[in-house]
Amino acid sequence: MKKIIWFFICSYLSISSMKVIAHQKLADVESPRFSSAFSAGYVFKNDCRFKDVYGLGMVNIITGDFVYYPWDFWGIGVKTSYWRAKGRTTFLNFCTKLEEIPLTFTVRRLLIFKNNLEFYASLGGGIIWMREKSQLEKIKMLKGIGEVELGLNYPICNHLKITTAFRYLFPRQFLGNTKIDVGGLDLRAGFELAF
Amino acid sequence: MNESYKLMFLKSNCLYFAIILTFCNSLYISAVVINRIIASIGVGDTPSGIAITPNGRFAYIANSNNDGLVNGNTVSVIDIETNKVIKTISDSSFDQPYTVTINASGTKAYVTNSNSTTISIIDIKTNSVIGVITGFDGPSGMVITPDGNTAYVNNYGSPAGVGSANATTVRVVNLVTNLIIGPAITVGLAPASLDITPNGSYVYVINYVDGNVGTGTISIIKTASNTVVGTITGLFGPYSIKITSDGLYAYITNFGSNDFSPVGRTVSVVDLHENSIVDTIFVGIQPSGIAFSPNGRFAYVTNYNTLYLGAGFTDLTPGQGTVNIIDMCTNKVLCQELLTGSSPAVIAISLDGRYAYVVNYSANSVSVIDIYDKMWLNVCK
Repeated sequence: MKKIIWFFICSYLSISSMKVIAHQKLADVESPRFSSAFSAGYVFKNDCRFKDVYGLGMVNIITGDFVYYPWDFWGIGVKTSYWRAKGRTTFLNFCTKLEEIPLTFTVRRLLIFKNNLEFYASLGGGIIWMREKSQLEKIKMLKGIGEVELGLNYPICNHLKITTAFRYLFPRQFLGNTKIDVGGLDLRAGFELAF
Repeated sequence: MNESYKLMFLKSNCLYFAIILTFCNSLYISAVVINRIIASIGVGDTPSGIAITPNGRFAYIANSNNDGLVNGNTVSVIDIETNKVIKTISDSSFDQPYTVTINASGTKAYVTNSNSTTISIIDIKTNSVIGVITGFDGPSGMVITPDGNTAYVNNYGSPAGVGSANATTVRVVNLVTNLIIGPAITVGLAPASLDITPNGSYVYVINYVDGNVGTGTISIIKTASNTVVGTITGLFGPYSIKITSDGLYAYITNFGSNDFSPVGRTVSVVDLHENSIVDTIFVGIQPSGIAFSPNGRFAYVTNYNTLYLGAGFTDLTPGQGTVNIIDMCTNKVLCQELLTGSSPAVIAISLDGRYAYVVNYSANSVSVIDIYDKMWLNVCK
């Protein structure tokens, strides 16, 4: 049921965004050369075993997103985050803490509309470092990860913008003989500096 | 706690223990009793011993046949993947089979016949008895040295010898020739169980003595000379001993008296460097079996919780059998208490640490308990 609700919410937001974007005209402005954004939010996880221990997802404490635009409105970037969640083991109820740091390299397409609203889409891949620690044991691992991101920026002064982003991270990865979903839906908001 | 038990403590002026027991009871109020039994496997009459093969595939259960059933002296073999008995081994050499010990290579299982003077050898490949070692007196426990060539067997005493609970010896067996070597090693009265340090240097033998508070002892045998080099006192009807994999500590369950009064409720922790009791942990009624998780983090203790009300131990009245979990880092009992069958005597943990196999003496069964505690990323290990 939750999945259905989330599907409809995401569909609604996407369609609404597309409608807004479709009515906009592109502004005749220069592409920025460099942008750096810092944001925070929440990562909704898909894996059912994750939910047994940690519930819905992880807090996105901070995400840093740095993009260089070598071509007009086309950029390459690097993005890293720090996610954290606290939960309880399923039997002995020990406190357990999960930390994840995804590091991805992205290609971004930026659109700037006449009303100053900016829309971007990006695609990327990289690695995710995970550490889970409880009284039972400490586990560290590194897995590959991919991402698709859609974002909206709204300028509040010359170089400073409010940014919001939806990022979906995938895919499922083998852990021993079982597949787990290391990704999820990352919703976040913050500020961006662009020059 | 019943009134007579309270009185016993007050009469003996053990105020300290009384205070601790009160504290323990207050802890028990917050205990969470959980049923995580995933299978109950019927085995033979009054099972009392268990051993899992080194490859983790099979569990061997000694059925002690305390009820004296015809053809009741058996060993049950459980397939751990299916949790089913795949064979029940019967042999004329079996006489109240009490414990099973499997060698490190997983080729042979040694069954102590507690009502006689022998140990039966089972070939694990064929699940048949291939030999008998003689010269014991109510053997009730066996450990094998790390090199696999020698075994130490405690004689509890039997009707065929000096009588049950009257023996005072440990015998050394050459497992290549299957013969007893050297003279008997004299230990305390009624050696109930034993364990060997991981480096094979010492064997610790727990002596039941008379089952009263503080009378139980531990005899320390140096394997290089096969002599007793020390004795630790202060146990209370000890039943099982288990040495940690780092060889630093031994955990001993204090069952209490075989007459079921007084009743033990503690596990003693012995520092094997100092050879002294360093901690006493309060658990359920009549702690009997003990096993460690493979990572050495938790000790699982079965609480027998059974009384004999009638004369001559004829009226067996089992209460609810439980398993306590001890955090071995802190030596505290966790609030989770696991349900099992009646009169859980001994326990073994599967090699992957996911399941506990509890042998229920009165219920003639083995309870398989899910003890796997899940984080997220350890789920597939």
